[in-house]
This record gives sequence, C-alpha cells and structure tokens, in this order.
Amino acid sequence: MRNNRPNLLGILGAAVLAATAAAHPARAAVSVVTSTPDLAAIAREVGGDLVTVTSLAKPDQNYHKIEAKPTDVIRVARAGVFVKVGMDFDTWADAVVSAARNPKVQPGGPGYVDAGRLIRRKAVPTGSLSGASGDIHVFGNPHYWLDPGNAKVVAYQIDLALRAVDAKNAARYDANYTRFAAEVDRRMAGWKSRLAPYKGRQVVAYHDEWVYFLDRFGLGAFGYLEPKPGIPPSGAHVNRLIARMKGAGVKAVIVPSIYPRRFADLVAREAGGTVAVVPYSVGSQGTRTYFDYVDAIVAGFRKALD
Amino acid sequence: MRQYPSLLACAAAAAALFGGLSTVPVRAGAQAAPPPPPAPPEIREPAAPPAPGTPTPGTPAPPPPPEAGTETPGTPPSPETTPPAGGRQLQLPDISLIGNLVGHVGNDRGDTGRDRFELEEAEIGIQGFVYPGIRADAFIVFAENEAALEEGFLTVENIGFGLPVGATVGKRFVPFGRTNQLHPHSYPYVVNPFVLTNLVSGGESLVGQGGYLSVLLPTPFFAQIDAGFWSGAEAHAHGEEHEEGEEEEHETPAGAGFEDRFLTLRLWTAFPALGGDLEVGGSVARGRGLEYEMGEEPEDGNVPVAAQRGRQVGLLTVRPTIQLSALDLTYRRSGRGASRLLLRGEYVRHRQKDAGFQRTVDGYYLLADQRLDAFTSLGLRYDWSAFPFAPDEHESAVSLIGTRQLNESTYARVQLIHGGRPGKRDFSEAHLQIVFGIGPHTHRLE
Repeated sequence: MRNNRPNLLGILGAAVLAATAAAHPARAAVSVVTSTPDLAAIAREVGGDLVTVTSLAKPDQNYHKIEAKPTDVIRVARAGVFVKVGMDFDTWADAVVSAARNPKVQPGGPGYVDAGRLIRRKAVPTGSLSGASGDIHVFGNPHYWLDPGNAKVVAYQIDLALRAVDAKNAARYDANYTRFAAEVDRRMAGWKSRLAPYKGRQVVAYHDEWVYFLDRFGLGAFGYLEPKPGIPPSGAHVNRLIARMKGAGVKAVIVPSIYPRRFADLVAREAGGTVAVVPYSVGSQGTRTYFDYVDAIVAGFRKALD
Repeated sequence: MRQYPSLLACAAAAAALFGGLSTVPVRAGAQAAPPPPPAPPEIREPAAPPAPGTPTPGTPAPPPPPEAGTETPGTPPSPETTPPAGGRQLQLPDISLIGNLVGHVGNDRGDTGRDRFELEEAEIGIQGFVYPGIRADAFIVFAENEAALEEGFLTVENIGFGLPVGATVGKRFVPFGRTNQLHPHSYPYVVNPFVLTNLVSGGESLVGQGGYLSVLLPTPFFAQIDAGFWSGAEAHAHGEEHEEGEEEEHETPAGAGFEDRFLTLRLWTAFPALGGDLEVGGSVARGRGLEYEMGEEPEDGNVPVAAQRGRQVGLLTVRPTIQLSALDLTYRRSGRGASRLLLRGEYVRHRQKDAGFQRTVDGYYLLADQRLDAFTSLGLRYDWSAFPFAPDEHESAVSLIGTRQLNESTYARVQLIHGGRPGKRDFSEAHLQIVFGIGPHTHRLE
C-alpha cells in the first residue's frame, strides 16, 4: 500500500514543470537588483523607464541583519545589473549572487557593480581589528551613500553597467546620469545653505554611520549612543555621554528611524537637547526618492541643531 | 571517447534551452554604436580605472566619474574577482574559529550527559577561492580530544555552457531536508530536532563523500534541484547493553543507517507569500542500509522467526534498502529594523525494505522563532519522532528557546525542554549554549 503513495518529489516536480510552462518570456526592460533601497533609488534615477529596479532589503530593515533568502536568488538570477554597497557591508548579498549563477552579475561580469569600489573611503581602520572593536568594517565606514556627492559616484558606476548590458540605450543612460548628477549639484547648494548656520557644530548619533554626511556639510560627531558600533547602549555609557554633552554644550541627537528612541530621549532630556528621527533608508518616513531622503535628513539635522 | 560528441550535443541543447528561457545578455560590441556621451560635470582628472561594466572597444567611452578621480581612495579598490572579506587582499584564505559550549541539567537520571557544561566542539573554518568561480571550504572540528575534517569540499559556482548549474565535490553535509547543511552555530535552537537526529543523522548532520549538482530551474519562482551521489556515509551505531549487564555489542544503526553509498535528490522552491517568503522543499535519500539483527532472542533458541501480532519474534538479520523522504516548509517575514518571524516544519519518513521485511516510521518538528530586535530572539518548538530501529518507541517534547545575540557570530542561548522519551516518560531539561566566533566565517545560502 505504501508504494502506491504519490512521491513527494513527483508532486513538487510536476508543479515546477507546470509553472515553467506558464512562465512569461523575458521582459524587455533591464532588471536591476540592488542590495539596499538607497542604491535602488539611485538606480531608478539612472535607469529611468528603461529598467525595473528591485531592492533585496526593504526600507526600514536593518542592513546589518538581512538574511539572504531563496526568493532573492531568483531576482538576481534574472537581473541584468546587480548593485551592492560593498566594503564588507552587505556580505549577505554575496551568497545570493553566488547561488543565482547568473554570469552577468557575478563579480567581474558586465552587470556587477560593487558601488563602494570607487568611493573615497573614510574611517579605514589602521590598527588591529577584533570583536573588541565592535562591528568595524575592515575597508572603512561603508555608509557612504549618505553623502550626496557619493551618490553621483554610485550613479556613474550604475551608468557604466547599464551601458554594458544594454548598449543600444547607452545615450539615454548617460543623459539620465548627467541629469541626476546635475540635480545633485543643484540641490547640494541648497542643502549646504540650509546647514551652513550650523557649520562646526557637533551631534550625537545612535550609530557611527554619519561620517560622510558630516564631512560633506562641515558638521562633527560628538559621540554615539552605541558604545562601539553594533553594541547596544549601556547605562554607564549613556551616563558618561550625558555628562560629556553637558560639559561641551552639545544638544543635538540624531536617530535613524529603525533604532529605539528611549536612549536618545533620555540623553536629550538630560542634556537639554532635541532628538531628530531621520529616515534610515529611502522609503522610510514616506520618502520616495534619493532627494526626498536627503531632504528629510537635512531637515532632521536642522531640527536637532536649532 | 565515443560519448564525447553526444555529451557536447546534450550540453549545447541544454544551454540553448536554458539560454532561451532566461534573459539573454546583450553584447556591448554587438549593438549599434550609441552617440558619444555628454561630458559630466566636475571633471578635473582623467577617468578612474575601468569598471567592470566598461564597454569593449568600439563603444563610445563612458562619462568619467564625478569625483573618484579627484580624491584619493582610502584603500585600493579590491579586485573584482576576489570576494570582499577577511584576509583575501593578502591572498590568504579566510580563517575562523567557532566555539560551541553546551551543557544541560535535567531530571532524567539515565542521562549521562547532564550536569555538565563543556566545549562540545571548536570548528576551524578555512575558506577561499582556489580559482575564479571555484571555492574551497574546509571545516575542521575538534571535539572530545579528537580532530576531524567535518567538511571539505570544492564548489564550482557555475559550470558554464550557459547553464545555471553548480557542482560540489568532497565531503559535505548532504543536501537533504531544509537544515541538514546547516552547522550547529547556525541553528535557531540548541538541541537538534529529534526527528533529524533519529531518522536522518544519528548525530549532527548526515554526511557523505561524493558530490552533487545544483540546478537552478528557469521557473518564475525559485526552484533548485540538488542531485547527489555519496559514499562513505558516516553511519552511527549504538551498542546495546543487555539487561544482564553484559557488554555484548549488537550494532544497531542510528540515524538513516546507510551502509556506504547513497543517493540524494532535493527540490527546493520559494515564493513570495503573505508578506514574506514561503519555502517548500522535498527530499529523498536512498541507499543500502547497515546489516543488523532485530527482534528478540528466543528463549529456547529454536523458535522460528515469525510475526505474531505485529511483533517480531526471534532474531532476524536484515540488510534493508533504506529510503528517506522529507517535506519541509519555511515561512519567513522580515519586519521593521531587525525583527523577523520564522516558521518552519520538517516531516521525515524512514522506510526500510528487505526480503519479507518492511518498516516505515516517521517524525516531524514545528518551529516558530521571532527575532524581536537585533539582539533578542524567542522560539517555540514541538518535536515528535519515532525510532527507525526501535519501532515501538517514540519521543516528543515542547521547547522554549531564548537567544541573546552579542554580534553576528557570538550568542548565548537557552532551550527549556519538557517531554517524554523511552525510559523517561516525563523529562524536563534546561540547555545552555554559548557560541563564539572569531574571524570571517561564511556559509552559502542558508
């Protein structure tokens, strides 16, 4: 009797074959897959209506805690271009790219973009690294997309990849890239102007991710709620931080939208300052484009620094 | 040699099939030359080194980067052909150490492993690329004062010919079920599900020497087939201590009970569903089992083997063909920040068949694991499992699991278990596990 039971694999195999038969032919648009929503937003600017863009990480998802999933594999398997942050930040994406077995987007392939490759890296560790250092990235601080100037470098690399996989539309990608870069420059003047009154001022942030943004706008980091990157705030550390803030007159506290607010509120209350919650990623707090995202961050810094 | 042309023909046909179903790459040089790109702003230096997407000669040059040429990179860009982590820039492999400290207390006096807290194993991982697209992984485990190569394998990520096929050869946790290829430090629990220990591995994981092909099917959803051939199954066997106290050893298999060679076939699919991802997998493993004796010693030594009321009377030597079948379901949904819900179940059936003898037993587990934030997880698991070589017995339990993560590779975990098993119908245990990791340690898609 048992031999008459339908085989599990047989049932599943039949389902796969049926679905394959019903599969649609390949789409005309270039499929761009990115590891994060921020890169996806930049890719949309460069690709325009010639591409479909998907981010593996969702908005407001902690990029340090992403789990590579099989459904991500199929997205990358069909991608013409894959863009990752690099700098040892989104290593989870490497497992997806490897499993996808898509030669176009494997390292060295025409559609593979390690966007951190051409970035001027900051906070590159020079000494010994270990778990005692916290979550330090060996190739430097990887949060470079928070500097709009670096968004142009990312866009440039995406443009190169799109030209390589879809050469007939190279001129349109170039035009989109040029328009995006010009728009960044135009808005950069505005962002700098809005933050100019606070030049030289320091802020307290939750996580050490602002070095590129702060350098761009002439601001500084006074300290972090995390005692070391990736290590949750402790009472002793927060108390020391509050004492230091009081002594130095630092009042601005910046918290990206995914992090808990309770420590930030405590610090701000004790130091007589203000907490600004800013979007963690494009897609957070109603932002839709990279420009919305930077606008909201600039507004948050102004609120905290006022 | 005679088969060579036909193999090539098969490969070409398969390549055409898969190539036709997947997105066709566009050759840069094959397209009509686009107009020259406009000069981007802020050009102060020559363009940066060619990026991976740089078109071949004949295509107009891309725009130079906006700032990359004006600023000195903090560190040299890593070569595109090398992965990003660890000591790879020095052409050293990634070397890591994972330590697994475990211990438990409980009320089962027959449990000789209780009231201890020990370094169960220390795993050294040596990983790196040996050739473009070919990766080597070796995991050496030190346990109970012995060192053993737990896994050592080469992975060809893509065999080429336009086929989405990878290959793995060597000693490997075989692709059977959803979690057999995971290492203990990747489990969301301390104690392996009973059904996997009793029906599949006999210990940690089902291991084989051999290899498998991994084919990503050209379906609109994720579907991968892993087909493997294995030998040298690390069959586990338990010696039975007779009631008289004599140390007469009757080797009884544990786990799957394969003698040597066996085959595996696994289909793994995944779909977006209910705001998350649903994975459905089916697995089969088949091979000749270890020879063993079953039944009871007849009192007068002369009773013929016969079945009476479903029970074996007398000793019977069997060398069965063993087939394992498994079905696994996983649902995963990520939320805000680091939160994540994981629901998982695996059902395994173990069938033995020999002349005049057939036995089928099964088991399963159900797991719910909620990661609350970047550091804290809570889980609940139910286990039920029979024993393939002691068919009248089974064990079941409910577990509550709590995990505190310090970083990606270091955590502390507690698993509280209450259930029943042969010899102890009502047992309770508290397991503690501390896992620590040093160095870059990666596993493939899990």
